[in-house]
Amino acid sequence: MTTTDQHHDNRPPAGGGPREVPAEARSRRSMVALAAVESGRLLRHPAVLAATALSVWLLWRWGKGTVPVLHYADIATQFPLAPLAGGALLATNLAVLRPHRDGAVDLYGATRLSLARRTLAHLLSVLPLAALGVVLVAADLAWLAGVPGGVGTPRVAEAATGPALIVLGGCLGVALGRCWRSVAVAPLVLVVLAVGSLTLADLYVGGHDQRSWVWLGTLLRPVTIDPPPAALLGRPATWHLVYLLGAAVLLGALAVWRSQAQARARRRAQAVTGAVVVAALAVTTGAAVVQTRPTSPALAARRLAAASNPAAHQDCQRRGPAVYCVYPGFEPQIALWEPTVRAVLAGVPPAAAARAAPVTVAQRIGWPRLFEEEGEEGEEASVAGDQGRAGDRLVAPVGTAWGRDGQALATSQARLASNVAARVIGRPDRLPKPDGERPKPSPGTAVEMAAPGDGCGARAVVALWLAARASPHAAAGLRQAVTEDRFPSFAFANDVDLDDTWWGVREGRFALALLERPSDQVTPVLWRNWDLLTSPATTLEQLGELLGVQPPPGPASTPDSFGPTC
Amino acid sequence: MPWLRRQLRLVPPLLVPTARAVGWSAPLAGFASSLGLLALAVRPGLELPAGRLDLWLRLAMTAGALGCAFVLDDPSEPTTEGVAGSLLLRRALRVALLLPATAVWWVAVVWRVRAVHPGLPLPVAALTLEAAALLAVTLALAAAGSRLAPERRGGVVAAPALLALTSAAFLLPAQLTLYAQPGSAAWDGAHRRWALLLGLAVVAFAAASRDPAHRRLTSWLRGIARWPARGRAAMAEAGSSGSPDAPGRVERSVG
Repeated sequence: MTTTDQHHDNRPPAGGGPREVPAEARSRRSMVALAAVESGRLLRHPAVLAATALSVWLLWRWGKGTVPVLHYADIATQFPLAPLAGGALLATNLAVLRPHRDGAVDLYGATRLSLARRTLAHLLSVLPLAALGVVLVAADLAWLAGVPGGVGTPRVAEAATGPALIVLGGCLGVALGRCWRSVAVAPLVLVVLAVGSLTLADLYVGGHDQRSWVWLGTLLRPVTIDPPPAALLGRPATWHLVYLLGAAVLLGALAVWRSQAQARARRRAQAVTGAVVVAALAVTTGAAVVQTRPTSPALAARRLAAASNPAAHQDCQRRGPAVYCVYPGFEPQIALWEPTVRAVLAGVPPAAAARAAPVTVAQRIGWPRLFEEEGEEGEEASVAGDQGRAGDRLVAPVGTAWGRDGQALATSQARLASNVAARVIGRPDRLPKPDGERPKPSPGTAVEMAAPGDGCGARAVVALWLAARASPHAAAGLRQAVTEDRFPSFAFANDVDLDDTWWGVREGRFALALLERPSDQVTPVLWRNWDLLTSPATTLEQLGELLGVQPPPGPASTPDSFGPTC
Repeated sequence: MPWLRRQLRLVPPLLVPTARAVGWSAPLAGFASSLGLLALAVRPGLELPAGRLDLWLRLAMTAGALGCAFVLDDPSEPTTEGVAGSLLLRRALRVALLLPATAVWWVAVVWRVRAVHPGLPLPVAALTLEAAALLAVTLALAAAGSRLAPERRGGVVAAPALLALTSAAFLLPAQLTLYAQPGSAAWDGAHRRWALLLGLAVVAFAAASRDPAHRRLTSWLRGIARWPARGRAAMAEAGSSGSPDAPGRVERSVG
């Protein structure tokens, strides 16, 4: 413990100065100058530079995956800024502890600034870093807004959460430095905070233990992979932002209060800081209470209505051979789907295409998993939603997240193409189970939806072949699903909907084998035998005989087999 | 090897003073926080998706290793450079003293996972190799960082560097991945890389812990690196000799 003779804020500086400037103003000016110097050092700190590079890369990587839905993309800016918040924590902590490391504490006592003012300068030095976070988020959202097919509007509270995390990290680093002289504390606290927040987020997203208190963590990802309409999100983003900023002010005020106590500052100054601590604590606690309230019954009812009868909440429009139903605001995505739908229907005999027309393509969000995560009531709602939809005409589901690049694009195209093909070759209407019961979904992953027969037999091979020849990306999606799946059946969606089809892996392998052959050898045979090959009774062996291809062997059955089997 | 015999004879008298000089709070806090986080994430009745358990194990490893980044911090190093025990011996003693606590921590980590998920196959040997390599990398970073940090507190450099390296390792492409999933095709390759990393880290630790008198090559390189800076300083000194300090210089020294 080093004791220093700290100057009070109103004490004249040791070296003198312009007499006409009051001591308080000189002190404040020095504090701002110190904050400017410290912010420059903070921005050039290796930890911050590395974190900035990582944040930029994460923003770019996450942004290029799917066609942006801006009221989801704003949430996706939060995690990429977390490294910058971690860098701010480490760098401000090292900056506060610099005099202790360099043995310069006594020298600092000779300057005109009190310890509390120096602490305040360190706190202010975080603001330019937070401004850098704002610039990164704004640039990311501006880039995404320009992408063709992008929909939605970003919300300020979600977009400001990343920069607020940086402020929180910086204030925490300063507070830790004022409370403990050890440089080991900040990295350990950072790891505990990061892993703790990830654990809470994992509990939330995994759906195993969803409770509203997980919002007490710093980061929370959205639940469904496909973005729901903004009105159904129900994230307490504003209160979470207030919670983070309140915690930052609380930590900053505690650091200043600790500095004042160490330097034996005037009681009045300490009382003011104490009042700020109390006010910040009250705001943080209030925001914590509000943000951890369970989902409101009104929102739950709106979600249930959207799940049980999505058609009532969507706008439909006919374009060529298909009808596209989207949630309001998602209309620009239709243009992205059209080429795939047309390509699938181009491979079907004209008479069969005319019979199946119009194919209905409709957006689905993966509500069953969301309901499952909300406990027993949610499960009832899921079943109710399923029963509510029974009897509707089957649609070809497509997610609200449409891939732009790589694996996401391959999966999106394969899902849409295979579902359109399934509607063309399959039954026109849903066949509800007589007792109205559904197979219980496996927790946390996908949900078994369609009857197993849909994706089995010769007609499934035809459907998958039609889907895979629609585009190279769809073929890549099928190849990936067939080669990587360890189970006897697969579906292309991340959040499988009731209308999604489960395909047999053997059927997928057969379709890939057909894809290797020239199209002009396969198409005439399929068109000539269309009715036979799209009959549920036709087997793979019969299809093989017709095409002169040996059907591939089926996958070995495993005890943990998941999904329906053929 | 008379030099080695002389060094080994110094071990018994150095043990107790070294144990008293080591800052135990950081590594023990690291181990405790690692176990606490694992207890939060891996709980009975909480089903984990595939691969998530390995993620938590690896995060627990990182938290444990982070505390060890500060075990070589020794402000007295410049003073003790002239004594008979070499720097490598003194640092190796610190590491050796930490080993029992590290072993207890790792056994507790494995026991927790085994107790909560008894049916899950856990490749203990391979995961132990990962933990050992991560600890070795941390210690090598701390040894190298002590030359950069004031008062030879290498942990200041090693801890952020470890966090950066671990984050980067999670983002490596599939061909170079270190954090492979058990049973995946990349598992064996990843563990060959972990073994290589362990070997490299041990060599780097030994090289960074050589006594200053033996660092001829590095000091020569450092001399070259400092030459332009020295030239600039000399010019600045010549230019400002006799002139009063600029006010800006005083302001800058405040930070």
